[in-house]
Amino acid sequence: MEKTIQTAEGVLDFEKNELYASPPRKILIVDDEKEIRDLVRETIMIDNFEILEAGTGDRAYEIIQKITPDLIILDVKMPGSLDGIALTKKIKQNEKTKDIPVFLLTAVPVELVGDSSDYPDALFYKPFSPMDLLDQITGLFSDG
Amino acid sequence: MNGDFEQNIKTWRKKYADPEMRIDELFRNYNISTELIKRTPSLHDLFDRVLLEYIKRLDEIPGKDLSHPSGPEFSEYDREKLRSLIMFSSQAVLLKENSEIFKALEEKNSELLKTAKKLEKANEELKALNRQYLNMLGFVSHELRSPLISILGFAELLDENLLGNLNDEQKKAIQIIMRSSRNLIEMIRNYLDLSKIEQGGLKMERRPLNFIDIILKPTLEEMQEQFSKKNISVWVDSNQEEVWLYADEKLLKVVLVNVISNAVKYGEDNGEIHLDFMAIENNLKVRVTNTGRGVEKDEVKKVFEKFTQLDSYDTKVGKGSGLGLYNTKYIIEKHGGKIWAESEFGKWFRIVFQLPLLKKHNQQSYDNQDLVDSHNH
Repeated sequence: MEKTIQTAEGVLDFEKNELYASPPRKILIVDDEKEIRDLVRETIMIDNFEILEAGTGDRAYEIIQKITPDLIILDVKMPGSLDGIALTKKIKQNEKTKDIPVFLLTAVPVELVGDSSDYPDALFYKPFSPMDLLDQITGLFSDG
Repeated sequence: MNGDFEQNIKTWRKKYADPEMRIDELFRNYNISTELIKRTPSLHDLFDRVLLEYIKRLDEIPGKDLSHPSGPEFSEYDREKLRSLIMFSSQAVLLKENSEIFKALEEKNSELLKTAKKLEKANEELKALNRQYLNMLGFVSHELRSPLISILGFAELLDENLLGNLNDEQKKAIQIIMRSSRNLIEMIRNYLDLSKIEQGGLKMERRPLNFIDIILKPTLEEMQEQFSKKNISVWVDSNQEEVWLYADEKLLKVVLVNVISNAVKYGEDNGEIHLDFMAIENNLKVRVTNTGRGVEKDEVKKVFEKFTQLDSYDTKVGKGSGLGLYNTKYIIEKHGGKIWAESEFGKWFRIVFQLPLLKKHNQQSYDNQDLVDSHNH
């Protein structure tokens, strides 16, 4: 792993002593439980990503309006008016955000109903394996 | 007997003007406590009136010497009447006694009712307490889940050297943390299931479903990691290509996960799990057998009891919640099925469960009956 530091502008590489030309990919983590956000963040930080965090679906929706993340990792059960499934639907039905991949984290079996274009791009059952999550993310970005 | 009878008539004749006396006499003669009859004024009145009426009628018979009631002027009819009267008097007493007993019973009954009401109240309180306890269990379990998932996740990151390289000692420690966390998460899952079940929050949403595609295959895939961690080989065997049930998908998955987890947990490392299922008459019969030390004969039934942890297992396996199979049994029975355990101590342990097949697909299982029979003997 290279020695890097995160700044508001991007990732600073000490060895190259410069900012990356292209900003790192942004990943939005949405979970009301800090422990899970910590785990997802630490897992993702192994590769260089910019992390955004939200504790509720509603807050996540606000963020998405301003910043377009490259990936959203979303818990199903959250307080507030938007749970993970409702938020996924909202993201997928909006022309502006419908191409953002959504990974859904869940503790209970999720039954996906309705239009398959509203489905999340991947589903992880808690306890999930951080390595699987990381593999999926790497796979997602190397394909694209 | 006859002498007594005549004597009585004489006495009644003499004393009929005084009903109180007459009755006292009658009862004394028949060893009946007058106290009893006196306590029932209405009965006393009735008896009195009948007796008086009858003796008056005897008086109206002309030329009758009432001082000799056995004489010829008394017809057999009269004598029968008097006998009936005496019978009546004893019946009256019996009635009275019965009424006393009845009264006592009523008192006892109202006491019992009071006690029952008290018990009912106590029961309500206990139920409320149980609800509170289950709420708390659900709450605590839910709160414990996320930190544990986090612990397990970080342990896995460490184990995979993703946060730097670990030496062998550290690796060993991390693997113990991982195993314990998994056990705890499993336990919590069972507690959550229980709190839902017992609060009636576990709603059944039954629909026709294909057991193999919807339940069995996804569950086995999900559990692949558990098998490989203990290097357990899994054998699936059946004569059926399609099995249809009318069941709740989520709950049936819980059943299968619990039964197979149990087989993994108590099965030996590098052992085997055999899962076979067949349609027999109107039922699907699933057997999950694991090699390993099994359970002693008198403990086999206990595996389905709430909070049971069999003594025959040491702590090396890790303690379970003692709820997995209890919940499983509950779900199976809710689906109209049956579940039981079999074991040969020191060799194998097996859970067998049976669920009713979906009716419209029954024909198919009958078609395969030959196969089932030959498979079964």
